Amino acid sequence: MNRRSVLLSLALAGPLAAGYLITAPESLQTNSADYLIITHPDFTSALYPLCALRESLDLEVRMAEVSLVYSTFAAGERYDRIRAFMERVYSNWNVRPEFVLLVGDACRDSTHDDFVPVKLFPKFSYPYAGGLALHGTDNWYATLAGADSTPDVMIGRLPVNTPADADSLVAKIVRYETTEDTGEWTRTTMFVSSNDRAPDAAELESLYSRPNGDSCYTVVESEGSSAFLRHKTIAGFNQGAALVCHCAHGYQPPAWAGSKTLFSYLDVDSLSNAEALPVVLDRG
Amino acid sequence: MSEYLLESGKGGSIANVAYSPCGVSTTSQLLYKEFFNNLFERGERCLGRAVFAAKCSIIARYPDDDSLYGPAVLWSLFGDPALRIRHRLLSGIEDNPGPPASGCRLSITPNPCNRYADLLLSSPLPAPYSLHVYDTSGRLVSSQPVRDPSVVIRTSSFPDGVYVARVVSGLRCLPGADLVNSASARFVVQRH
Repeated sequence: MNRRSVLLSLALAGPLAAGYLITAPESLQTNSADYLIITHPDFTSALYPLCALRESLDLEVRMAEVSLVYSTFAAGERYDRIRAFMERVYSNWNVRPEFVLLVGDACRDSTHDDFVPVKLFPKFSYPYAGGLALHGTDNWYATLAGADSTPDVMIGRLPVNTPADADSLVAKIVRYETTEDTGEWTRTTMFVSSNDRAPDAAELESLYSRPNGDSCYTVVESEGSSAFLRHKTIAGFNQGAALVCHCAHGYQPPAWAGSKTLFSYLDVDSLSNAEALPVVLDRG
Repeated sequence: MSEYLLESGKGGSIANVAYSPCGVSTTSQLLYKEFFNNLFERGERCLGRAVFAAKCSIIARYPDDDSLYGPAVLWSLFGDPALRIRHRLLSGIEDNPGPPASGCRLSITPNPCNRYADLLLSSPLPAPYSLHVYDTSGRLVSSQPVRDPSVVIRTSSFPDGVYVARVVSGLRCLPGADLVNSASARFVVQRH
């Protein structure tokens, strides 16, 4: 059993759990971490296996709950307080985190719990789909040096809404990284494209995927009816791909489409690719 | 769509990179090409690095045109930025120079790497075996026993530079077995 497996099994049993979580306000001010989790308290307990996995890769891991962040950095809206914490981390911690993970969904319209909020900004000058006038992005939490929009830490979010969601997603990540499967799916890219974006998919395929030995599974709008296309996209997921590249348009309710639907949120229930999970590039 | 795919218990995705619904097609393709370049050409398997290098490249290249840098700002990662993408890559550096007699090949990703790298043997050597890492002067800088065909090399203490990883089977002590039961690959440690 290698060190990763040892640490993981220990963490699953619980004894390492306490060391990751920051419990004292002063430890938010000065600390060190390669990998920082900022989470809603509802999800803390689900995250220990992920902490152990990252520690097993020699990353120093710390976890902060937003409740402690809000009480320690008391000025402004909740997103301002998280931002103030991030600024303190960046300026004051002995080791600045390379990775920051937000855990909890953000809600822009009060229809759901706003577990870890996102700040809304006026739109950029180009037209937005749906006539939106505002946008929200976690990039704001990561732009900590200078006056530009370039992120200074790598930030991601697990947009979970329940502890069960968090448990499930963490289990996915741990299984994904600790299994040794090197099957054909790990050298497969799936492209799902509308007619007008098909040249983009073809360019990526010819420039990068095929020259590097990847198998390519393609779904192009012109191939058939919407029912056929949705079936083919589902089959592509279930056959397995390391990377899924959506080169079409996004719609609400969530769907990938051109003039025909290529894949719908309703199709997610038909997926059975738990052992071959892709990274999805979603053009939206 | 991202949340549906991520939260699917039967499958779905391990991570999504999306900016729905505020993207524009021109920038989308630029971001995709940067991401693909990071993944396929540079051998970057850390999802966060592959995504953020793409974002930073576009933002830096078009600082005065928000129709180009704006979508890059909005391109968001729904997933763990430290995730190591399970994608078998051809590394940016020729591995296994010369065909190993055993047919066993050694791959190292990402390459260049930063704090760690994944080493993978294409077919198991007779266990137990050892991993030795040498710098370009031939100095042994690291040595460890290995029992699995996949192992993490911790490079956080290595100075930037080129290294050679060599995996040698424990059976190498048998007469004539040395060349048959080994595989090697070069890799680069580069932090900036």
